[in-house]
This record gives sequence, structure tokens and C-alpha cells, in this order.
Amino acid sequence: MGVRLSGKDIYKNLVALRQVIFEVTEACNLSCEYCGYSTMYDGYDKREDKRMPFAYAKNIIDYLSSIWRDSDSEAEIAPVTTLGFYGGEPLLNIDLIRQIVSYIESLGLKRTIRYAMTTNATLLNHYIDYLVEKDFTLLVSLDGDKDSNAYRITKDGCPSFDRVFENLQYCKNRYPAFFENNISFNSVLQDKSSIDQIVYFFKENFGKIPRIGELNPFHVDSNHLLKYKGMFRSKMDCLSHSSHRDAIAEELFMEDSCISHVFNTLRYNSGNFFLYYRELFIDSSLIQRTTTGTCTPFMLRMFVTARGKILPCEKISHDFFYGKVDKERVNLNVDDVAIQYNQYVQTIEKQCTTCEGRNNCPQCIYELRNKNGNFCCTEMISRKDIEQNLYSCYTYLQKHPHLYQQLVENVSFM
Amino acid sequence: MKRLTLYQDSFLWIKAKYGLIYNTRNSRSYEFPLNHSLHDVCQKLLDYKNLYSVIIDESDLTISRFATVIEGMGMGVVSEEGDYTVSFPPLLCLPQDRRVKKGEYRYEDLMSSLFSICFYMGGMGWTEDYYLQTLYPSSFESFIEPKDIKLFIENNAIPDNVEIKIVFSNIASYPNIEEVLRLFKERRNMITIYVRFDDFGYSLLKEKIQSYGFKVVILCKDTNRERLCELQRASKNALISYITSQSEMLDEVKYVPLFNGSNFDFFYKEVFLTKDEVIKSSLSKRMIFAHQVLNTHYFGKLIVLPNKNVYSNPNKEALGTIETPVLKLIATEFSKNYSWRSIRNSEKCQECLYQGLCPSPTFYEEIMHVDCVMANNE
Repeated sequence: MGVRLSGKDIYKNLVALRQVIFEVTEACNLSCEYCGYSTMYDGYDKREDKRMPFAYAKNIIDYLSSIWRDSDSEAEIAPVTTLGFYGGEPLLNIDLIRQIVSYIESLGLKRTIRYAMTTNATLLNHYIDYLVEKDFTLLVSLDGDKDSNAYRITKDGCPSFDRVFENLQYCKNRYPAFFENNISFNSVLQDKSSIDQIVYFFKENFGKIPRIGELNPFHVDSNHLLKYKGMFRSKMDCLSHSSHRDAIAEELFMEDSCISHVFNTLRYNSGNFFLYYRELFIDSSLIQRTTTGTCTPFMLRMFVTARGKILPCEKISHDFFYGKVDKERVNLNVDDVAIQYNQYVQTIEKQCTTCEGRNNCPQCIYELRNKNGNFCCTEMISRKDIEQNLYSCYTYLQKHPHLYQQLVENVSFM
Repeated sequence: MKRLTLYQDSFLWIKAKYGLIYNTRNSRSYEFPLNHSLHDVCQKLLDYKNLYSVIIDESDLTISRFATVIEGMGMGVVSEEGDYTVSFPPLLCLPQDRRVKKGEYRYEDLMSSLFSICFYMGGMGWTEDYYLQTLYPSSFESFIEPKDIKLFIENNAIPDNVEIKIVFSNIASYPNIEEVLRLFKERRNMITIYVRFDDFGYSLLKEKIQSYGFKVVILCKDTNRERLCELQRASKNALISYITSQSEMLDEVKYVPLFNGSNFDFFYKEVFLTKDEVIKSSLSKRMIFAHQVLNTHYFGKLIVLPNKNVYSNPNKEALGTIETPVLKLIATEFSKNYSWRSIRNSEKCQECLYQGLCPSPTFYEEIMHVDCVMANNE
């Protein structure tokens, strides 16, 4: 049986909360065809261009700051918490962002608050001065060159690339240090792009390597399955067909799926990896683990939708909310959160007993619910699978021998 | 030509003219002199790019014998040149250690590192300052009050899984014993009370403490075997006997050595380990890694003295007082490193073949001013 959470555990997570993400608006000025909120996917509340009322954000901040005030004794040892802004396109509701930033700064909290945003950069030129003033960290969604961005279109079907590229150049010229230190990129690999193109484009134009993700395989609407399959491209396959495979893998490093696979194999099988000093005192067979690799609620972040749902992550279905906020109050009971989480993991535990990877599981339970509403894992592994993984890991390291030490000594992980 | 691959549970160390391989799975060790060709083989094995596997020339008798012994002792395998056995050299990956060394620790680095707090309640106990070496009911002029302890624990939200030790120098004269017992009633599973046998005979106290269900350890200086048996029968609690010289030992008693300023012989003969004992320590991979980065005796432990100062090492400066937030105390210890990450890395230790197997340094060595605790190390 995996570890069972209590309200105290959830409370501790709220004390140490690393990130609070506000979905400031559902509205977006683009209609990217592969967007998680497009018709290609389900699992989220229907998008109606709703904007989050300031009262929701204020109530969440008040709720959290009362917890933080009780626990934060000094600034330099208090946790650092990032306020993240999400959408839709968050810059469409810059007024709310300014209000939230202004409000939290007025509270005089001891802990350090930082700001972050995921943006399509179509409006970046309008608001860059403010974002620089507040030292925002920006994650810009861009899939590479113009051809690779074919799916990133405006509401009337026009390409967005030129405007975005111009805005980024403007930002780079006006604030070069900010561009260098605060801006990173996220690219979606699909049938219009390739890893070679993506890496080349970003290196040539911005001197950066983007995070490269595949199309989300979860919650694909059954009516759009064919379209999805046509668009989907696997990172591993793309890289294996690349004429500059090794060079690109080196550039990508942990973004490269082979290298991250090697890292995970080492992490779970070499006996060399420990997160905290504490783990050096405990025999790994005695460590009580959570069922699946699901984060405990609010361990990493809290995501608040424009409609007031409180979730543990922005990547999961909105059905998995743990609480709600409205104009009056926050309805989030830590004991109920623990009970709900425990119920989810209990439903899959029996399946896990037959899986050889149960002590090192990377699966997120929120992604395991099937169309019937049951939790079902399709990634269970056998002893033979583990041996195969070890062998392929070893084979890869033999071809890239410098990687072993590099992975062990330099990579951080959660 | 053949291929020699060490198993990932095998540690290889080479120092000057000797090498040592220790396998944590079967606890076997192999010490060998290094000639030129063996040194070359070992250097290649220690180059992580080779993934603990090298081609060897069987015609070299030294190397051939070396490989045969390695395989025979279950520390590695010899295969055909073209064959590979999966092996990952034992190289510790501990992101928290990297962060702490850079001074970039996170909130959870601090929270996760507290294991126990020892409160010295004060009063006139035994006269010697042996608390500087180990847990010992020395005399203190002041007492620490229950309200101070309560504030310290509540203000810092000390987690329930932190062990708490309460040392009474003289429990009979402690003014607020009831209040202390009530304070810790909810946590009694993680509390241990240490009292001198001289005081524990006070029957009302004994009943009171036992009625709360606390774990009690009796401290005594008596080493007479019959007397100790009698003490054990009388108290039915765990017993610690402090010793400064060789004594006849009872199995059920824990013996704690004390350095009295002159009993070096006792320590070298009875306390410190011989080379054989070090090699036969039966260490896991995890413990060898632990010794590389932290002190396994003292990591995570804070000591509160009756003067309300808090220490990680009572022989060094205080980290703060009981009014200092505990996370700040831990952050100070991380930056000053008075004991928690004190490891065997002196110049002498770095030249020693057994450095990787040796236990962590203790306060005894600080007080004795010795830097090597291997009894017969040449």
C-alpha cells in the first residue's frame, strides 16, 4: 500500500508552495490547431473567453498569505514562490496581472515572490517595459521557423509567425540582458516541423535551445483522432532520422528523449541517486512511496482557473479540481484534499502490485482515467522490460561515454 | 585479450602504492599492491567514460591474477573482449549537496534535514563536562524552562517525526517536571528521557514518567557487573554505562566511552577500529555515499543547553538561541559546517587507502586532538 496523505501533508505543501498559477483569461488571440483547449481535445471546461475576477485572485492570495505569515520567519530562509500567469493568452488581461502584482506587493510578505508567464508573444511589444520592470520570466510558445509555425494561426486563419518574430527581435534589441536571462521557448513538434529545423532556427536567431514537446496524447477527442495522428510526431523518431543526430542530442541534452530516458534508467537502477541527505539514512526498501509518480496536491504548484477551480497542475483535466474560489471565499479544505487524493490512488493500487516499476513510477494518475471514468494504467512494465531498458541505456552510454559523469554530476531532478 | 568489468556495487580506491576494492553486496574486500600495469588498469576503471569496464591483457600475470581474484570474490566479471556487462560506476548524485555547497539551499533542504533535538534541562548533575563528547548529564547552573521549550517547538512547527531527547542532570531538583511531561505527552512516541540512576530511584517520579508512557534511559557510571545487573532488574529500562577504561561487558547494557584526558590507550585498544574492523564493517553503498558527504553521527541533530543556546557541536560556537527560527539554525549550520557535514577529508585521510570505509569523525577526536582513529594504521 502506498503512503496515505493527511491534511497536515497538504498544509505543508501549501507552506512550501513553489508556484501559484492564475488563468487570468480563457480568451486567446490565436487559434492554434493543436492547442489543448482546441476542439481536438476534451477534458477541460468549455472555453467562453471568461476573465478571472480580481476578487478570485485576491482571495487566493489572502488564503495563502495567511498560511505563509504563520510559517515564514525570515526572508532568506522562506520559500520562494512564483506567481505564474496563464491563459488563453494572459497578455489579453494585462490589467488583472497588474492588479495582482500590485496587491501582493502591498502585503509586505517575507518570502520572495517572482513572476512568470506563458505567452504567444503576439502582444509582447506593448507590455515588455512592464514585464522587464517586474523581472518576469517568460516562456514563449513558438514552433520554429515560419513553416514550422503553420498551425499557429490567428482567429481569421492568418499566420502569426511574422508578428511574433518581430516582437521577439524588438525585445531582444531593446532589452538584451532580459532577453538572454528571462526568456525561454517552448516548441511543439508536429508534422510541419522537425527537431533539426527547430534547433537550428532558435540557435541561429536567438542563441537558445527551446524546450521541445510532443502533442499531448491525453484527452484527445475521439472525433479528431485521425487529425491528431496525422499531426503527431515522436521526438525519438525525429531525432533518429536526423542527419545531425548526435550533435543535436548534445545541444538538447535533457530535452533529448534518449538522454532523458538514460537519465531515468540510471536514476532508478544504479543506486547512485538520492534527492535529499535524509535518504542516505534510510534503506530504500523501507521508504514509503506514493502510489504512481503523481505529485501530492500542491507539492509543486497550485493552478486556479478563470472560473475559480483550484487544481494541482495546469496540465490536467479540470475535472480533478480540489477546491473552488469565488468572490466571497476560498473553499479548500486540506483534510478533504487528502481524502480525495487518497481515493484516487487507492483505485489503481491493485494494478500496481503486478508492475515491476511500481517503486519508480513516472505515471501521473490524472492522465490514467479512461473514457469509462476508471483509472487504468497501460504502461506497466515487467522484469524483462527493466532489463531491456538497462541494456539500451548501457548501449547508449557506450556510444556517448562522457555522458555518464555529466548526467550524474550536473543534472538536477525532482 | 579479455574484458574486466567491476559490478556497480564495487568501490575501487587507489592510493600511492596500493589499491582496495570493496563490494557492498557481499562485504568482501581485496587489497592489492599496485605495479605499473595494475595501476594503469585501475586508472582506466576509475575513468567513468569506461563505465567500469576495461580490456585487459591476460598475458600479464599480475593482471590476470587480479582479474581472477575479482571474479572469484564476486566483485566483477571477466568476459570476452567483445562482450559487455551492464555496470554503472558508483558515483553519488545528490542535488541537495550541490545546492548546500553553493549556499543555494531551498526551503525544503532545511526542513528535511532536522532529525533530532536534545534538550539539556540543567541543574547540578555530574561535575565533568563530558557533554562536550557525548550525551551526558553534566552540571549546569541554570535550568531550561518548559515554556521556553514549548515556544521553540510550537513557533517552529517542529514535525512529529523529529526525535526529542530530554536529558535531566538532576531530575529530582528540576522545578517543573510535571509541566515538561505534559508538554511532550502528545509526542511520546518520539521522546526519550535520560536520567541518572542516582535520581531515578525517587519513586514518585518513576511512576509519573512511566505512567505517561515515555521511553526512559538510565545513565550510570557504575561498571561493576553485578551492580549493573541489579540496576537493570530494578529499573526495567534501557541502561547506558559510561566507561573510561576496559570493563567486563553485559550484552543488555550500552557502554559509552569517555575521554578523561589521559586514557588514550583505552580508546585505541577498545574504542577506535583496527584496520580489520574497518574492512569488515559491512557497509552498504548508501552508507559509503553517506560518509562521502555528511557526518552519520551528528547530521540533523541539534543540542539545546540550559543557557538557551542551540548547537550542532557544543565544542564550537552556538548556531543561535531557542528564539532563533529553527530553519535559520539549520541554514547557519549548513554554511558554518560545525558538525553535520564533517567528513574524513583531512590530508592524512586523503592519503589513506581506507578513507572510503572509515566511519565519520566524532567529537572525541576533536577533544583528543587526533586525526586518525584507525588503531593500527601504517
